[in-house]
Amino acid sequence: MERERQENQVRLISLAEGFLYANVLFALHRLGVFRLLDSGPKTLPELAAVMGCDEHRLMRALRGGLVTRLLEVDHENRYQVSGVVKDTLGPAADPSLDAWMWFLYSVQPAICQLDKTVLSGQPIFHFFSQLNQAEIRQFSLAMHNYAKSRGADLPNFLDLSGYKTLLDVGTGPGTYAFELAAKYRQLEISLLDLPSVLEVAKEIEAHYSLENQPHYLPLDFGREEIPGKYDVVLVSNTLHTIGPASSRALLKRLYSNVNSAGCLVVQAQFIPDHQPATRCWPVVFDLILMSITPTGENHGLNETIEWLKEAGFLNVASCRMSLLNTNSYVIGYR
Amino acid sequence: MEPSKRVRDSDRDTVAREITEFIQTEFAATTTIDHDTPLITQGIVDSIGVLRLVRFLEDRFQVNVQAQDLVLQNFRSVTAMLDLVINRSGD
Repeated sequence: MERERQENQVRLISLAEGFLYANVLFALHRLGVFRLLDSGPKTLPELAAVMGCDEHRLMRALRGGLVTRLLEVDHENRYQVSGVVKDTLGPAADPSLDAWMWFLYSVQPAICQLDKTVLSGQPIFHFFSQLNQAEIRQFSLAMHNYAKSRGADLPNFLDLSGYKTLLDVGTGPGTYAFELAAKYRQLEISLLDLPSVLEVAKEIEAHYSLENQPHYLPLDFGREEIPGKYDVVLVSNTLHTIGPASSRALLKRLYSNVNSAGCLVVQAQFIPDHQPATRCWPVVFDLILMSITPTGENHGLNETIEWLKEAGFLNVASCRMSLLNTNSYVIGYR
Repeated sequence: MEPSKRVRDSDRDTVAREITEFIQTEFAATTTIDHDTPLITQGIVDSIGVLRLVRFLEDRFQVNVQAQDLVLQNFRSVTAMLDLVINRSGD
């Protein structure tokens, strides 16, 4: 009994202290320590001189990096990055992971006041509406990073053989559509999102060699009519930004954009429908949405299936992909 | 079992015991698992845990786990992982 009580204490303390470790990571990243160490190990005076800061304070921050195993010291007492940092934030790593770190850092002030949001029903700030173009790019790159890493296996699980056209609604950086078009070379893809977001998608497109030139539809799908009919309509990680009521309305509208015998695919990080919720990220992601958007809400697999049926889609089914991927998808046919 | 040998069907008991012991030690200190305990859906093994399991299976049984193997049906239980090891052995 005493052992169990001690274990529970440790669990609670670990949870409560978690934000401290995240902030050590954010601070060292924002201070540029990891970048400075890209070229090799450096002593404390060397780092302090380049950064123009007090050696003692810097030493205390670097000590935080040591205990979180982000940094190491070599036999000459010089600081160097650990394997974790080298593999994820080093020069050879995907640079858009930087952007993901920026996103998490940016939403942190809101999530720290979750209690206020729960009581008031109001987000602490409206994250998406206050972004400037540079920040939209940062955010889109963050989404690209996710899509390229853990989300990259959609083309392995979604068979689009025989389909010729695809519309990606709320495409963001366009990564999923590009990945699908790279595998299914016959696909002609159309990417729909706000004009400022599509600028980033065009930047991402340059990394792909596609058979067909993508079409860009600079539209606000919440306010404007969605043109055309397509064999496949993809709605990937989009519904959570608009909430249940708008999601149901959007899916009903999209039914008319799907060709006969075509399909609609909703890819999302579904909240587990059954307790205990063992997939943590979709649940905490929902809390981020509550803290930074007026109506955003993450959704469950079963309710999404019901939304597709309600919109008129047939043979609605779901697929869970790789265990490393927090995305799953729901597909329905017209 | 010697790590370099090809895993055969007759090794099932040994392989299952070693996988169970690894999971019991690394992930399930406070829970007793058997060969059919649902490891993923009960939250005993998370995504980082899956990666650690992959490394363990590859190192211990000299199998090559492919990206397409990282699905629920191959990691849902000790029995599922045992089948994966047998199937991948000799690839």
